[in-house]
Amino acid sequence: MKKLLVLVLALMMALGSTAFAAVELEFNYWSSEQEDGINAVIDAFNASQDEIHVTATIVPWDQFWEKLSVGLPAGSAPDVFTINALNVVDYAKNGYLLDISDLFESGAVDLSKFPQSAIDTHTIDGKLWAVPKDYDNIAVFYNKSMFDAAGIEYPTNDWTWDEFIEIAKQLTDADNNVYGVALAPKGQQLVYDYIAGNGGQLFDEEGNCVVNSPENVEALTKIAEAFLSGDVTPSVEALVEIDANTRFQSGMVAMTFDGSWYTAEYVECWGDDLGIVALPVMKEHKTTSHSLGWAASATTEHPEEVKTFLTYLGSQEAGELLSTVVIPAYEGTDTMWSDNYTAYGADVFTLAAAEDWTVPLPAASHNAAEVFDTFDNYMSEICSSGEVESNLAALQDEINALIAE
Amino acid sequence: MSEIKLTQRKERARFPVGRVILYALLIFWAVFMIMPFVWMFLTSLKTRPESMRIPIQWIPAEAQWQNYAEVLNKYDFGRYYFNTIVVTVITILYQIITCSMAAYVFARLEFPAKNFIFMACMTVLMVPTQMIIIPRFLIVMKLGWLNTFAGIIIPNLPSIYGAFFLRQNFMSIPRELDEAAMIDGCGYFGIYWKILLPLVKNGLIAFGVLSTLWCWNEMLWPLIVTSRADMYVLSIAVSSMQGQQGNNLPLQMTAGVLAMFPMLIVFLIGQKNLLDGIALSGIKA
Repeated sequence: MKKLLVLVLALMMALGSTAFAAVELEFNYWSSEQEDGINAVIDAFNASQDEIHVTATIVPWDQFWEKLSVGLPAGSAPDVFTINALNVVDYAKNGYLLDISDLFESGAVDLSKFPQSAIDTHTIDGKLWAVPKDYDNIAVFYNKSMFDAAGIEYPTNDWTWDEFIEIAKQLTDADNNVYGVALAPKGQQLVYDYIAGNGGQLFDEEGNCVVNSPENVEALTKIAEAFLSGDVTPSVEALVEIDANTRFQSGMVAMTFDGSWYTAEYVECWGDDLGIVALPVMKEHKTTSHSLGWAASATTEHPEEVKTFLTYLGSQEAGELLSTVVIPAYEGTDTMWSDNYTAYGADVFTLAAAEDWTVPLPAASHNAAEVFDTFDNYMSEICSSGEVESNLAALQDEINALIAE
Repeated sequence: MSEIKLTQRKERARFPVGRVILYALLIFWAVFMIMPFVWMFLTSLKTRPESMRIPIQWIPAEAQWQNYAEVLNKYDFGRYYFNTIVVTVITILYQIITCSMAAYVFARLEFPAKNFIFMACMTVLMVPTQMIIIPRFLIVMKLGWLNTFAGIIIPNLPSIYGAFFLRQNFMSIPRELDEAAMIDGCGYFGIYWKILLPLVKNGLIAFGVLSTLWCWNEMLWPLIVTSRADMYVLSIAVSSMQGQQGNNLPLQMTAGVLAMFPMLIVFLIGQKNLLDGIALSGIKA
């Protein structure tokens, strides 16, 4: 009996000591649709060594920032978490993020392997605060069966804005509530793309908002015309009721401008009837590219282990494992993602990155999330009223006030 | 209950039309309330494209029962059920005991500053939880209770609402009963335990059911104090399936059905007492 007890105790201690030897790191993210890929990365990292064990937890998007903003100042935040363009600015400036510049200086994470727009997104005050995780950009998803029924040829990557409007009008049957396209009056999925695509800017070099420029007035006038013509896209009010995504999946519109993140969902919905093509060109090819990063908490108790983990996350292997669920940022692994969807034309997303059509999602230097929302509110106003200049002037003042706050 | 039946009988005799309208309204209201649940259950059996269709496709072409297998395989629902049940059971037991004691004290005993203390408690009821969430979080963190049952449960234990709710129940019982019991040699605790508690049984069950529902559905606080999936309760697990862009509605609704099911049973069991208890207390949840 005693022997048995000793044996059990010895066994427990042996198990205990190996379990306690590993440093425990907490990792939080919100992209539940990427769960399978992210778990694969975490599992591979945990299996690759026995000094560090990472536990990944999904925190719902609606509460993610609320929770992080409570946890970071208090010091109870996860060691590593995903971050986006709108939050990295204020988190970096408030000193909540771990300084990981030595990873890039030492070459542990090879920055030449990542797209410039992804690096720019997470660079604040000349310092990179996150290891680029993925990128996305915007393209046109279209329903081939509706093009076939109307006898219209599928669009190609070099189509112009005017051709696009023409095609959309031919596909519209407003009496039956069918439209050529559902344009969402939003920055990322529409307006930012054409601000850049028409040679304009949202912020100048110093970070001041310069949205009220002749180029932008021109671009937004064209966009507002599409909304007000009544035979291109459902009105702003109608889109509040049923959004572009639902309309496209219900076959109520033939095209929609949307992000690469919807590819899997739209493929599941339309199968071989799905086509993807570059955004129609106003002056030049441009598409807004957003990128998530892997960032770490400044108050982590294990900065060295965190850096080891981040180094792995910046590796080609991590990119390959992620490529099942999202476009990884690491060079060459992005096309592993698009190879899954080449039949539908999803290679346009990686083509856009390769051809440098991408511009980083414009993020304000302060209050970025509020600025983002304010911008979208004004776009709804412009696209439903058609009054471009007065609204752009007001928007510019309001954004500059938010930045100066 | 008997009073209601009496008036209904009178109405039937005098106003059959009024009764028809009444029933029509009630049926409309019942359908209105039940529709979301029907939609939730039907959506849990749809494919993802079917769930997005406008006009709504109510009946899936083929019931996708594998949604349930997928959710149960992918997520550790056993663990979420266990966590939620631990949190709920401890909270309910504690609240029923302490709230009924406080209710008895406030309803029956006389002592200095009683009304002041009661009003002070009621004032706390008016403070929105969101306001005290950060101080509460800091306390729990300093105690080292993050990611523990203590952290999830203890700050939510006191229920002023419960004390108020049960006080109304106690006050509906004639004081003569207390006096009779006291003459027979019963102490305060005896009166509370042997005489009054059995009489407010309906109120206790009603409060228990309501409180179970709140506890089961509580999301913000458990989310704030947990950062590991193995300490998640059902409400967080369900909402963590919601993406930033695009939702897999069938899987979310499947998880919703799984999370809701036990509460449906609790409600069905406690239904009669729940209605009586709420009618007695004169307040609504």
